[in-house]
Amino acid sequence: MNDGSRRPMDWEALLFRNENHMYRAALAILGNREEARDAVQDALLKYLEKRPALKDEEHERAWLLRVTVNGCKSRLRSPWRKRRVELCAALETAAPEEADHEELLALEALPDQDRAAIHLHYYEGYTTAEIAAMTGEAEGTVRSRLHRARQKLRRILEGEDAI
Amino acid sequence: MTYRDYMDRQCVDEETHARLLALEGRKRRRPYGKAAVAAALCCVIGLGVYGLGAAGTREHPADLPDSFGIGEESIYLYRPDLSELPKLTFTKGDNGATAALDIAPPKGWFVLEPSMETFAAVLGQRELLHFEGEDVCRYYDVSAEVIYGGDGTVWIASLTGRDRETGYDVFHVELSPDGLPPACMPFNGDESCTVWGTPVRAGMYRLKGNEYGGRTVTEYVATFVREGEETVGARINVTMADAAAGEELMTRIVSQLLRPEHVLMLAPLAPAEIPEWRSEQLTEENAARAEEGFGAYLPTALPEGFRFSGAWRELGQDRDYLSMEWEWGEYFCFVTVNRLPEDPVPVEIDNPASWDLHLYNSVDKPNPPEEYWDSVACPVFRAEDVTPEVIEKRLYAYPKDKKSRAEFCVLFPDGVQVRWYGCGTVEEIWTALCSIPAFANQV
Repeated sequence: MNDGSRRPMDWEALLFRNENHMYRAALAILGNREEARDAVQDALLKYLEKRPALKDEEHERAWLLRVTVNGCKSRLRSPWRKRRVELCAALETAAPEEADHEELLALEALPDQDRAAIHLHYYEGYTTAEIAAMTGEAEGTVRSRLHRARQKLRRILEGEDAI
Repeated sequence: MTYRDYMDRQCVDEETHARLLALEGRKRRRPYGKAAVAAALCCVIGLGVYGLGAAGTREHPADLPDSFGIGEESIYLYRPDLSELPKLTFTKGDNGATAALDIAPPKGWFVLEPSMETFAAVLGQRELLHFEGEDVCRYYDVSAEVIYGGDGTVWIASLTGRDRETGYDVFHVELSPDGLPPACMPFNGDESCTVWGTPVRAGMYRLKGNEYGGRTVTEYVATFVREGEETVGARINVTMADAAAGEELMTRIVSQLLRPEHVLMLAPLAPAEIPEWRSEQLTEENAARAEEGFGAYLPTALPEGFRFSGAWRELGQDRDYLSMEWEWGEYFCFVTVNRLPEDPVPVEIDNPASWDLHLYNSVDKPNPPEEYWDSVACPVFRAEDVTPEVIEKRLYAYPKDKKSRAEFCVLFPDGVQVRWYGCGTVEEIWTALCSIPAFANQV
């Protein structure tokens, strides 16, 4: 853990703690595995450059996810980026149940920022206030996004904690 | 299956994990650091289709692996946010052109198409061409072309990116040594800004027209001259329907070319060899006729009264021709003998629609079909198809002209092409053709 001292960082341990979480967040937002991998690499390079002083693993996770999410948003602003529907292709094999499949496809059709909020809340467990801080959006906006998502994706989000 | 179930299955693969693991062990490239400006070009960069020389080696600012495959460098790419790059200020206008100039390449010019790896070396990059981390080859068909002078120096090096879906060019970068690249449509932007210490003139224009498929696009233009160990001038065009995307791409390109710790130099484009060339005016008719390989294709009988007025010998990459001119007052006869005509397609003599000028040459007659525009303007006849009747159908005259004129090409079986563009009656032009030894031999 980088606590701001000059102790060597256990890079491999950091990766094991965070790489999949970062990858899943990037995949949720970008919908493309190759780009998600690139986004994770970019975020980790920023970590290596900036070496932020972080209190604990929870803060470390939040910092890395925030950088990942913001990096994805930057990529999405580049319109020459060709979005490939790999997420849908993955969903076809992962969701044989028709109802779930349809909702997962509907998830992919949501705006990117909605998917970011959905992932950070329903998968990572962040509160709307925390998501707002990570994404730079107003908390009310985050609540709206999550409310819309619950209306559309009730089945696949069923069982998760309500806001 | 819930959203959580689905996402739990998504994991970084082993290969990616290995690459991420390797990140920490390298001395990372610091885009804002105080790394040396110069970069070393490694031997792998020196290899190329044209066998580039080792000129212009520098220390490379990044501590990258000694070797890796195409595309692998992307894991080391740092892609700064747009907010981290210098902001350009653009003159806003309706039309990018303020004047039109005639430009011509230098004598002995020749063209080569370097590989992307070679062009990447111009930016001090290894194999993968990118602009501030943006791998443009991933999204566009990118091509490069370098026009050299007869002494082997770069005249203009250009890089073009074409949208794979629309087929339109999105970006075009031109680089020249010691100053701005020559342009037939110079840009005179009023606004200027400073990017990494170099003045940049930049403009933006909203354009619409058939050349853009009817779309409204925004064109960005930027020019600058970067001083340094090599002084390199640049002109960059970015054209996109999405103005914000176009501005971002322009910003990344300009930043990549000007950031001090990035390299910009034309030395990697030095050609392995220079084609033989001649570009020479010949003032004596006898000297022109004595040029090896051309005498058999030159007329010895010109229309009465015409006198030799000059000749030009041109030899170079894909060109080998001799032009001669005779004059009589305001009237002329041009004959060009071309030993390397570019893909000549002879017309079918049985299809007069493709070459008979008289079918179209008046206000009450239709225009030629688009497929025949070029052949009606200057048809290429097989030598055996040319007759006085054919010449008559190529003859035309402007009002108040005392002499008619005709323009056409004659293609010989050995591939040599003779272009006639000159004045005379049918008989005079036919006589001139028959005085060409190669033509007389096959009539």
